[in-house]
Order: sequence, then structure tokens, then C-alpha cells
Amino acid sequence: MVKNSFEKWMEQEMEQMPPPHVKEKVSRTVLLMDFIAQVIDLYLPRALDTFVALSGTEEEADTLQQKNTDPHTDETKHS
Amino acid sequence: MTSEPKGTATKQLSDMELIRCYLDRRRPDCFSKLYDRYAPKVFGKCLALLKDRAEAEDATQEIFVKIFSKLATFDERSKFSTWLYSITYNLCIDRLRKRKKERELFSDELEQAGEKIDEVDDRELLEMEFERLKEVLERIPEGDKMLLLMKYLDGMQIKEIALSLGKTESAIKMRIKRAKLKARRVYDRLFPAQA
Repeated sequence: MVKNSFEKWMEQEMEQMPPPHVKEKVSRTVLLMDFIAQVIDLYLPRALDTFVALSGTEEEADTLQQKNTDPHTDETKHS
Repeated sequence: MTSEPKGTATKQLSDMELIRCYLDRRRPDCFSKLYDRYAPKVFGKCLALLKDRAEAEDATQEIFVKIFSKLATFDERSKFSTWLYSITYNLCIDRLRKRKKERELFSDELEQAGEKIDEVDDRELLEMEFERLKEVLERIPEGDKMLLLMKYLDGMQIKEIALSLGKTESAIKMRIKRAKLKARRVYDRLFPAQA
């Protein structure tokens, strides 16, 4: 296939492999982003559950308090 | 040790095959092949537009990180190369905008209002001696150069260029017309026709 002047210019003047460190940095950054995404996928549901439990409604807080009431600890008793 | 999928040892995998291979199993060889296939072209475009090697390296890195992190969202409505080059050009133009005012990036901003725009035949550019084209491209605004590369190097349709740059088709047509005229004027100035 005959190349036009733009294709010849790009191939002969501009196109070249960037230095190896560019590929290394891309690879590392993408791996790191993948890792972070996997950690988030793994722990986010549990973290969300904990967050809801901590900042839930008064009713939920009462329920939580009842569940956590320890007969040996006066602090948890509330009238 | 990684190896090609069975039956494809001697066949060059298509872009989509490499993308699926990478997305399915995150295979480093699939990442490597896709990168090696397009890095010279992406880097070449960045060099052509940014004219600074260090910045072109930085831009290339940013483009590929963006591509690989968004690969799962690529929907095959266009070719992979078209998608990749759109991101390349947009990133380069964003960087150029930090250096220069928008009006300096495209020649239509510099032309006088109401000036008649002659139509320049595509062949004048496509058949130009490439050493002369190199001289011309060095001297036209970067935005004009980018439009000419999108159309004549990458073979993008007007609709694709408009979509990539977030402009209307008529605006792109007018900008390309002005870019071609600018290129011809620069050519005529550099290489006046012999009497």
C-alpha cells in the first residue's frame, strides 16, 4: 500500500519506541491501581456495614447497645 | 513463563484479542504486546505536537495509564486505535493549552473575519515531498497540525474528529479547511514556485 506524505513523515521522523522506563512506570502504575481496586472490592462491603452500624438510627444504636451490654461493665448500662 | 494462547503461536493477535486476554487474566505479555504495538505511534504524535522529548515521554506514560485503567469500558463502537489516538490528541491539546492561549493553537483564530477561504485539494498535501511537509508542519499552529494528522495520518472521519474534540462537524470542517490553507500558504512562502 502506497503511503502518503503524512505517513512517511511520521514513520521516518517521529515514530520511535519511548525509553524503557516509560513502559516500566505504566506497568507499575496499572498494577498498583489494580491492587487498590481489588482491596476496595474485598473490604468495602465490610467497611460499609461497620460504618452503618456506627452511624445508624437511634433505634439501631439502642439495638446495638443492647447487644453490646456487658453485665460486668457498668459503663454500658443506661437507663 | 507466559505463552501465547493455543493455536495462536504464529498468528499476530488482533487488538481486541489482546484486550480480552489482558482483561480476562491480566497477562503481562498481553499488556506488553499492546503497549509495544502502539507506543511508537503514540510517542510520535506526542513528540510532533509537544516538541519536547521529556514532556512527550511523560504524556505517553499518562496516556497508557489512562488507557489500561479504562480498558474495561472500551465498547468497540470505534476501532481501538481511534479511541487511543483521541485520548492522545486530547491530552496533548490540554497540555498545549497550559502553554498557549486557545486562540494561538488554531489558525482560524488568527485569520481576518470575512476572509474568503480557498479550497485546498487534499492531493496537494498528501503528495507533498515529505521533507517539505516536515518544514511546513514545523511552522503551522499545533491545533492545525493535530487536525491534519487526525485526518490524513490516522484517516479519521469528520464525525470521529468532531466527537473526539467535542466540537460540531461543521466547526471541524471549517477548521480543517483553514488548516490546509495555512499549510499551503506556509509551503508557498518556503518553496516559491520557480518562474
